[in-house]
Amino acid sequence: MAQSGYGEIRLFNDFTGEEVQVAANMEHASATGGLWNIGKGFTIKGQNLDQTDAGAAAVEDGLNGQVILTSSATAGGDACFVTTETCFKPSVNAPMAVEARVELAALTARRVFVGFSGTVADAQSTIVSGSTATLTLTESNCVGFLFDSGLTTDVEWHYVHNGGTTTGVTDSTALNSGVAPVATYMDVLRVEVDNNGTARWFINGVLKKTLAGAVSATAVFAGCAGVVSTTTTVGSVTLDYIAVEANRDWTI
Amino acid sequence: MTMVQSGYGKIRAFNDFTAEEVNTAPTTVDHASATGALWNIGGGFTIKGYNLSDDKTLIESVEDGLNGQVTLTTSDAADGDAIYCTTETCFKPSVNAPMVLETRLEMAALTARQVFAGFSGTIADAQSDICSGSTGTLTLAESNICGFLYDVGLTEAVNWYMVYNGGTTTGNTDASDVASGVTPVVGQMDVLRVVIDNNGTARWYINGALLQTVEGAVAPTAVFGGCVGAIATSAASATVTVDYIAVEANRDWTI
Repeated sequence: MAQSGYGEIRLFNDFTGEEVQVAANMEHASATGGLWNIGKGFTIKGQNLDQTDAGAAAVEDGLNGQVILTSSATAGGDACFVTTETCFKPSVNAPMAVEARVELAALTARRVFVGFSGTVADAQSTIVSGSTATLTLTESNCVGFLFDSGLTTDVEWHYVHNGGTTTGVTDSTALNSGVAPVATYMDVLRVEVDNNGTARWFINGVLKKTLAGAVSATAVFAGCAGVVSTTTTVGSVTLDYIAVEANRDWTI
Repeated sequence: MTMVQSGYGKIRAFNDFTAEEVNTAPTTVDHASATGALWNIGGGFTIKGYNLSDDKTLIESVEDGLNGQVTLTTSDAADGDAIYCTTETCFKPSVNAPMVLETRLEMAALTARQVFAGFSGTIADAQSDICSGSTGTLTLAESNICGFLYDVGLTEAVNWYMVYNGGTTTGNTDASDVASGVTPVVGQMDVLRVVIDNNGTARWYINGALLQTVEGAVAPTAVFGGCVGAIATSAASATVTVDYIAVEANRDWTI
């Protein structure tokens, strides 16, 4: 097919203004209009978004533009994700990348995921979680970074994956990045997926891991970043930016 | 007096429809009476159309629609119900050209619908037909038009039609004169692109091929919005699925 000049897809939100006010009081699925749209190709989804303690708020005086995603304290598993639709398939849209610059206000009572997931439902809860040194790969297709305060063996960013020809690893000690998030310090997390399902994980610009067959080449993914409550306490993560890159499927 | 120009002279509104959607049943609110940014869809575009307040009308991102896709669905109340993804009318050929509207779209069926993609001098909050067709005759509802029309009523040929109105060249209402020769195929994407020069000359491209050039197709001093939309032709919802929409122009630096 004759291709135009719009083949490269680059979604980027610097969070300089658009926000979804806390107390939006409406679940994504039942929202009227574009209530949860946050601009630049992203929307907000998560479990218990209708609670007044959940939302996505711009950070006043947050340099470069920043947003805080806050998950509700109603129950463990409440979540708040900034996400695309599931619309990127490695076999036709790769190379695909998600990059986000994130910081945690504290390392307690939260799990943070940054990467691709084959499902990001309107009321999405946990994508991947961990306890002590064991991961639970809730979603059957995922690749990205996980911090979970429950992974007490190593307080680190973990490289998680599931759905590819390489079986998803559930021993978190085999997925350690060696990089510990530091409260109130930013980390740049980037994961890339090739058309054959090979994935690469970068932290702060350094290639840390390459894995063949990390994901299914024919699964369809959304790029996302989000926080999940682990108890009846709000979870939060601050994002400086999120970028999702891919290429167009020109199949007619 | 010449203004010192900055680096922001190029205007490029683009929406890849990767996530932003206006959820179903937006509580019976028309564009004109909506509160807040209810119908905004991001990237420099908003949603307008006739009978948007009907709960059958919706704009939804397509789950597993590769690259991001959105389906526009009109009400099923009556012929003329419509839904457009559009800019404001803010582009004048004489100062903003070259102006480009490009979109990649597909139809789930070729029945009971019109689809328009291009520029229109009017895109009202409750916009209905921009132009339409019956058998072999076009009705140019808006006085300033430049774009592509598919209309199930144009039975003389199942084609994309390259329509225009308002320029020094009188708008052609004989559909056979402006037939593209390209037949939309159910479930297959077409890339439609129309380019307008500062003198009102327009060029139509489908899937990268230049198919028509008309001098004086539009008035250089008319002000246009770039849009893509579906229009019902009966009491049945019309739909169109859009992969992306792009509107390009240049800034009017007049001080």
